Amino acid sequence: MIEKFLNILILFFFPFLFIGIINRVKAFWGGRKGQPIFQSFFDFVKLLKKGQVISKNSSLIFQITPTIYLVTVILAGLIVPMVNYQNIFSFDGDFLIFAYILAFGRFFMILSAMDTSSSFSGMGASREATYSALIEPVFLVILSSIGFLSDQISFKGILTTLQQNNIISVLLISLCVVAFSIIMITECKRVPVDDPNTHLELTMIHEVMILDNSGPDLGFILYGSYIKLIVLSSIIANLILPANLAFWIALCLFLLILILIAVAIGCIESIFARLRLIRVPQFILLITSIAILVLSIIQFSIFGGLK
Amino acid sequence: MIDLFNLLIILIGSSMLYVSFTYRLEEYIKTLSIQGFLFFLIILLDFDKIEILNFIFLIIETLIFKTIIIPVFLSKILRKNHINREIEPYIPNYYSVIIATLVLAFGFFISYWSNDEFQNIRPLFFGISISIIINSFIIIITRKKIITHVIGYMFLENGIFLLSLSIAAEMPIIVNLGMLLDIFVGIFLLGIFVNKISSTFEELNIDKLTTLKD
Amino acid sequence: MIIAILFIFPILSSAFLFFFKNKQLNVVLTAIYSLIYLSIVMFLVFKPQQFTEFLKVDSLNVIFLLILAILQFGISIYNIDFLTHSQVSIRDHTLYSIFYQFFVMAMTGIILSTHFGLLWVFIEATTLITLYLINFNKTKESLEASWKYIFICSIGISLAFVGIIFLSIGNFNINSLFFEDIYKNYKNINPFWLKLSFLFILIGFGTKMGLAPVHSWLPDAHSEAPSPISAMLSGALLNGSFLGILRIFKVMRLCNLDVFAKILLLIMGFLSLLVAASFIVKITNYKRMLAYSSIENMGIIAIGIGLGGVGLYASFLHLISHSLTKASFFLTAGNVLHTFHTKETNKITGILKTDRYTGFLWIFSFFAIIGLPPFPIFISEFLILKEMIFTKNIILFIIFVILLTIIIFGLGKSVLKMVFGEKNEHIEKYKNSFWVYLPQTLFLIILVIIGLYIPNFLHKMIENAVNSL
Repeated sequence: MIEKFLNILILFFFPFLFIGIINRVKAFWGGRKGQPIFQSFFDFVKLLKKGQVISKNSSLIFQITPTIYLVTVILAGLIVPMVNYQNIFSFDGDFLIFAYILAFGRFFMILSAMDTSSSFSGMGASREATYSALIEPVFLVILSSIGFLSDQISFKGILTTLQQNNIISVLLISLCVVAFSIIMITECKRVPVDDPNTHLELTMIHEVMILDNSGPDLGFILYGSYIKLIVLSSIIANLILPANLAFWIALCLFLLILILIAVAIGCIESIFARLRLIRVPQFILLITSIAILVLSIIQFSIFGGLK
Repeated sequence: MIDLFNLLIILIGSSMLYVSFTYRLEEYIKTLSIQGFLFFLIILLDFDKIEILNFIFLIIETLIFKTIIIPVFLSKILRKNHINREIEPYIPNYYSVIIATLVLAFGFFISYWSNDEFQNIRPLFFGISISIIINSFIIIITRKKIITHVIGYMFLENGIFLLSLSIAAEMPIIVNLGMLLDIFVGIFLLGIFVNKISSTFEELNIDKLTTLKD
Repeated sequence: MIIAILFIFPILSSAFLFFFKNKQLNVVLTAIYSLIYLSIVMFLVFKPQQFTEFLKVDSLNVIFLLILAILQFGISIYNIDFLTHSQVSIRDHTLYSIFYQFFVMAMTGIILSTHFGLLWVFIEATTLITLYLINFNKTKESLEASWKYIFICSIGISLAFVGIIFLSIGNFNINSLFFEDIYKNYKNINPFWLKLSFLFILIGFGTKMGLAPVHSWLPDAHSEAPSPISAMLSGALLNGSFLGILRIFKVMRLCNLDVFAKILLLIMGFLSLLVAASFIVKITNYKRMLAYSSIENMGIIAIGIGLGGVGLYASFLHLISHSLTKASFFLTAGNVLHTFHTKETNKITGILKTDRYTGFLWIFSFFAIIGLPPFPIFISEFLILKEMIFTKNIILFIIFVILLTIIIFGLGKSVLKMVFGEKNEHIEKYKNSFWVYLPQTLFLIILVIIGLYIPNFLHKMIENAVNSL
C-alpha cells in the first residue's frame, strides 16, 4: 500500500525536481548559478493563474486537448511500475494500454496543432507523427518479446523477468536500456532530437505544436511532458534495478537512478548539439535495429541453444 | 560457460552493426581489433577442445595477428594517407544499419534452425558467422574507399574464422587453413599493396580505378 | 619421388638466383627448369607416381599436368627472348624468373594435390605469386589490374574456403578431406551440405577460372600482364581452378546430385558466352579481346561438363586445345605489342607487311581459336553441339551457335583488320629473334596434329579422365 502512495507522490511532485535538476546541471555546465530548483513548479502555478487567449479559428479540440494530454500522461503513470516494481493498476497486457494511452494523448496533440491552422504547428504535428510512428513499434516489439521469454504479459512481470543472474540477460538489459533511453529522449523531445529551449520555429518539434496555447492550457501541457519524463525514466530505472531488494533500499536506489538520469540528460543537453532535422529519423531508426536484435536473441534463447 | 561463449559471439555479431553505423574508419579498425580480442577469449574458453600446439598457434594468431598487427598496420595506412571518413557510401549508413540488423537476425534464425537440423555444428557460432560474412559483403559492396574494402575483407575473414570454429568435430586442418588465409591476407596487406596504390592513385577511392574498363 | 624434383628445383634455383642476381643465370636456370619439368612430366604421364599421400598423379590430373608441361616449356622458350631483350632492372629481372618458377611450381601443386585443403592452399599461393607478375610493368594500369585481381580473387578464395568448411561439416563422419576418402565414403555425406559446398566452391574457384558473373578481374589482369604471363594465366591458371571444380563435381556425381551441379555449370557457362559475346564486338584493346575469348572458352568447357555424355570428352579436348591456342595467341600478341608499342586495335594495320611471320602466327592462332578445321577446337565444339542435339536441347543449341557466331565476328573484325592493310609508315620493319616464333609454331603444329588425328595415348588419356569423373 505504501508503495502505491509513494508512487503517486513521485508521479505528481517529482517531475518538478527532475526538471530542476536538469536545469541545474545545464547551468553548472554553462558556468551559471541557475534558476531555483523548483522554478518549474512556480512557473506552473503562475500559468494556472493566468487567463488564456483562444484563436477564433480553432474548434473545441484545441480547448480540450491540454486536459486530455495531462490525463493520459497521468493514467500512463498509474500503469507504469515505479517503486519496488509496484504499479497502481496491474493487469495482463497493461503495457499495451500504456502505449495506447500515450498514443491517444499524442493523437489529440497532433489534432490540436492542426486545429490552430498555423503552418508552423502543422509542421510540428507532421514531425511528431513521423517520429512516434518510428518509436511505437519498437516499444511494443521489445516489451512483448521480453514477455514472450517468460509468458508474462504485464509490465511488472516483464520487467522482473530480465532480472536473472545470467550473462545473456545482462546483455538484454543493456540493449533495452539503450533502446528506452532513445525512446525517452524522442518522446520527451530532449536533445539531440529536439531542443526544448530552441526559438526557431522551423526546427522545433514539440514546442512548435504548443505555440498557440497559453495560460492553464500551456501549464497542463508542460506539466504533462514533465510527468512523461518521470514515467519513461522509471521504466529505465526498473530495468536496471535488481529484483527482491528490501523496500527502503529499493526506494532509495530508485530515486537515485531517477536523479542520475536527470543529471545524464542535463549533461547530454550541455555537451551535444541537437541533430540536423534530417538526421533525427536515422537516430531513431537505430532503436529499430536494437529491437530486432533483442527479438532475435530472445527467439533464439527460447528455441535454440541459449539457456 | 556456454553462456559466456554465447555472449562473446553475440558481441562479435553486434559489432558489425556498429561498423555499418559509423562513418569513421578508425572505428572500423578498432572494431576489428576488438573482434580479434573476442576471438582470443573464445579460444581461451575452448581450451579443452584443442590440442596444445594448435592452441598456441591460435593464441598467437588471434591475440597478436588479429588484435594487434593488422589494426596497427591499417591505422598506419590511414594516418599516412590522411583518410578518416568514409564519405558518401552508396547507400546511407542508417539504411545499412537496418540491413545489417536484419542480416544479424537472419543469422540468429539460421542458428535456431540449424540447432534442430544438425548435430555436428555449434549453432550460434554457425549462424552468427554467416551473418558476419553477409554483413561484410554488404560493407564491401556499399562503400567506396579501397581501404574500406580491405577492412571489409578482414571482417569477412573474421566471419570465416568463426565459421571454421563452428565445426563441433575435431577438425584441426580446417582451423589451420583458416589461419593460413589470415596470413595470406597479412601478406597481401603487408605486401605494401595499399601503400603502392595510395602513392599511385591520388585518392583511395574505387571511383578512381576506372582506367581499365570496356 | 621424382615428383619432389618438380618442387625442390625451383626453391633451390630461386635461392641461387636471388643470391647471384645475374641475367644470364636467370635465363639459363629458367630454361633448365622447364626442360627438366617437361621430361619429368613425360615420364610421369606414362608411369603415374605418387609422392607422399598429398601429391599424386591420377587419371584425371594427368591431362592438366601434360598441358602445363608443354605450355610452360613453350613459354620458357619465349621467355629467353623476353628476358634477354627486356630493359628492366636486374632486380626485376631476377624476381621475374623466380616468380615464374614459383608460379609453375604452385600450378603443379594445384594439379597434383589429393586433398581439398592443399588444393586450396596452392590456389591461394598462385594468387599471391601472380600478383607480382601481373604488376610487373608497374604502370598505373597494371597496378589497378593487379588490385582488382587480388581483391576479387581473394574474395573468391574465401568463398571457396567457406565451401570447404561446408564440405567438412557435411562429411563429419569421415573427418578427412582427401579426395579418395571422400569418394570412397560418399554415402555418408549429407547432401544438403554437399550442395551448399558445391555452390560455394563453384563460385570461389569459378572466380579464379573466369566464369561469367565473377569474371571481372580477368580482362584487366590479362591485358596488363606481360604477354608470357598472360599466356600462362590463360592457359594454365584457369585450368587449375577448373580442376578444383571437377574434384568436387565428382563428389556431386557420386552422390547423384549431378543434375544440380550440371544446371549451375550450364548457367555459368552460357553467362560466360553471353558476356564474352557482348563485350568482344566493341573492344578496342586486342589483349582484352583475347581475355574475353578466354572467358568464352572457359564457358564452353563448363557447358561441356554441364551437358555430360560426349560433352565431357569434348570438354577435355577443348581444354587442351584452348590452352595451346590461347597461349600461342597471347605470345603472338606479345610480338605485336613489341613491334607496334600499342594495345589499341585501331592503331595497328598491316602486321603481315611489317612482320610477316608474326602476321601468319596471328592469323593461324585466330583460325585455331574460332575452330576452323583442322584445328581441334572444331572437333570439341562440334561434339558439344552434337551432344546438345542428342539430348534434344535445341534452344541451347541455337543460343550457343548464335553467341559463338557473334564472338567469331567480333574476333575476326579486329584480327583481320590488324593483319591486312597497308603498313604504318613510321614503324620500321622489325625482325624479332627466332625464339619468339618457335613456341607458337610448336603449339600450332601440335594443335594441327591433334586436330587431324588424335594420338592413341591422348585419346586414351582423355577417355580415362572422363571415366574417372
